Amino acid sequence: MKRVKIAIKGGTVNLDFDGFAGKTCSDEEDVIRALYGKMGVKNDVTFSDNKREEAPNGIAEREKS
Amino acid sequence: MSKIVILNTQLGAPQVLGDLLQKIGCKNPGLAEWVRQIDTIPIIKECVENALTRLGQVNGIRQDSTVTDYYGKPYAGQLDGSLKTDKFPNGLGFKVNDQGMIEFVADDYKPEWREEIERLRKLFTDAFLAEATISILLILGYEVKVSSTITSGGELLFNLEGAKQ
Repeated sequence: MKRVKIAIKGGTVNLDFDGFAGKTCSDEEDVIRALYGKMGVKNDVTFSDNKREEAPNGIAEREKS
Repeated sequence: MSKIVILNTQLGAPQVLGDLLQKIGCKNPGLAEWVRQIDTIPIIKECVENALTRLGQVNGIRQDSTVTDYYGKPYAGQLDGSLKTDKFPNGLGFKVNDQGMIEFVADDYKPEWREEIERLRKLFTDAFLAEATISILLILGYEVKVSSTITSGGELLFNLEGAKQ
């Protein structure tokens, strides 16, 4: 099951992808961001981090995207 | 794989993000073309209506369809809706123009009105973001759950969860 949890507050959107094979969550992120643009929502990535599978609660291995 | 992404957002005119479409197109040209061609203006209008309905259920905010100026004269242009409060009974109007950009309409003559306009504009922006996100997730085939709370500082916090096979 692919899941995305999204928190929205103060104009900031926090996307948390889980259950995607390989780097397909990055592909999904690109589609979501492109559709935001088409919906009139300008968006810039201020933080991006691939979580380790064994650390799903956000204790993450920093990886520059 | 799992990933966290934080986006800083701002409302503006709908636009095709060329670099993203190029990335999408490298893997799935059909999907990139679909994103390029999709007419989002009706979806934006629906999201504006839903955001106004959602905010109209917040304590102290009333959903309406008109705005008036300092002298009580109603705005003659077309509006998609408005929000009113006791502090700002003249109302903040919302309209989606022909390009799909959301425009705000209000008489901001009094300083206290300006504060309330800014507060309502911020609340609307987050509510619209939530509705836009719901629409995007549904388009992409997710089942979506939504919850919202108001923080002690008066901000809206939306939590959405999308799931698909």
